[in-house]
Amino acid sequence: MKPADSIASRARRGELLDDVLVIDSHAHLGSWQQFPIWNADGEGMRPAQDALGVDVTCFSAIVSACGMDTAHGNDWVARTVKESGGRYWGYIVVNPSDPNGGRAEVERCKALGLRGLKIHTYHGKPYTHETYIEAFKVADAGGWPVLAHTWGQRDLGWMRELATQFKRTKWICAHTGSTDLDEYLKIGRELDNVYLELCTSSCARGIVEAVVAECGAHKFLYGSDIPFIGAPMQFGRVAFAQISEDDKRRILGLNAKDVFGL
Amino acid sequence: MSVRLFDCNCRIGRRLDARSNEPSTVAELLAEMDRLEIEKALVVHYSGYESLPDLGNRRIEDEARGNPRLARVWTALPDTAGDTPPARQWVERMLTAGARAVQLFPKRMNWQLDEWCAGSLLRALEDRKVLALLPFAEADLGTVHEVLEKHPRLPLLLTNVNYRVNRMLFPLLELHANLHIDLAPPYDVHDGVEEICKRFGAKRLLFGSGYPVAEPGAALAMLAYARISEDERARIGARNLEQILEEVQA
Repeated sequence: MKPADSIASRARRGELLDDVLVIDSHAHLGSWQQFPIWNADGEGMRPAQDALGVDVTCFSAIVSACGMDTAHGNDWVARTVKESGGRYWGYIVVNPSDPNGGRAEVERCKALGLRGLKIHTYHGKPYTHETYIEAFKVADAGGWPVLAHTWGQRDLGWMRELATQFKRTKWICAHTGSTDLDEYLKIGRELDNVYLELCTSSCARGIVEAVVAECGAHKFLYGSDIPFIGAPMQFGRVAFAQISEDDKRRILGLNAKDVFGL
Repeated sequence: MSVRLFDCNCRIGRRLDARSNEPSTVAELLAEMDRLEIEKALVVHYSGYESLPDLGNRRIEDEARGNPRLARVWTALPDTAGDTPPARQWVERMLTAGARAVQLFPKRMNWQLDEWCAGSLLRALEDRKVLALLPFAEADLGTVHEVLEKHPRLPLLLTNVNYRVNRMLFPLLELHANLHIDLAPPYDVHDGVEEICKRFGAKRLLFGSGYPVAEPGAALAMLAYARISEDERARIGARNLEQILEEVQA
């Protein structure tokens, strides 16, 4: 027996899916202290992204998202986006533990052309913290996407509260199924302005199929976490999933095209 | 061109933490292999991990023996407490049954890979060049270094390696030609396949999926889209493992 659809059969041979729009909704820029990351700048990631046919990569800087160099990373993202000719799209990192990492930083980066937020529990504050709330007011006014690192029930509780309060914002819960899969399925099913994002290093079997069955393919976004982890594994989870080819196309890029207004 | 695949990291049977629809049978494994064009698989039984090694070894023989696509892995224990036969005798029994690889769970089963505890088992495996699979979660890399140094003819395969440990893993790969790792999650390293092929050669990598816990398509895509030569891809896909198993002195 061979893979059932053209995406799976071509991915089995490592072929470029040049008729499939691929938008990576969760990526980063740069390396980090905890482990070595090679080829981590915009140019360095290109060969891996080209092999998969990634059209647009939406990223934030690791030193901002999982560090304390908020403005430094946001500036690097803005510069790389500007020079990329549309290949890269940038998130502004909000950091409530950085005295200069709140709404003023968002307004500053908005002037640089960035139109989305990234938040991470690394910074040690609940997503309902007042610094975040002020930043979310800017995002909501613009109908921006907000990508949130989430790891199960506690974080999803904050997301539920925020998605109810800020209804124009497109809330993206990263790392679907990292733990508490049922909670991800519940929030993805119940709230129209909440989307689920794919990437987890464990690549647990059956998550893609469960999200499509419970929430619909229109609520799921391909994200890789490149270069924090590699892009092909997450790509393979979609390409070889036991779902329809149309659903794979939605997850790999068509949904993100709408969410990010690309 | 589709790379030929011999999956070094598959399990059948029931595990405690499984989701309700997790596959567990040989028939389900073979269906998944068919779906993804995986030719062969090295398979261990969860009963050996969850219940009792000897029971798992009997069950893998009962359920997988005779299928040319499945190579059986036995779960091994040291012979220090008398609850398992002397190591050489146990290895002989395993080889006579037709298995060519063992799985080690030192943390789970309360023993140590150090020479004072596992020496006789490791020597018996090394003498016959039996492939030893060691899940990363069961490994202390300092001890792994000592094992590889004391048993240079023992092919050791670290499975499901964490993607954050290359600062320790790379010196081990540099020092020990008998160390291999597989591609199973979470070894989800950006440009990791390319980097290891360049630094240490493709011989050190084996295709492993982590089925049924992980989605096999993940490791498959990591190999299929790696920017390496077709010869390197073929080695990682199947030939490295075939060669290791051919070298077992049965």
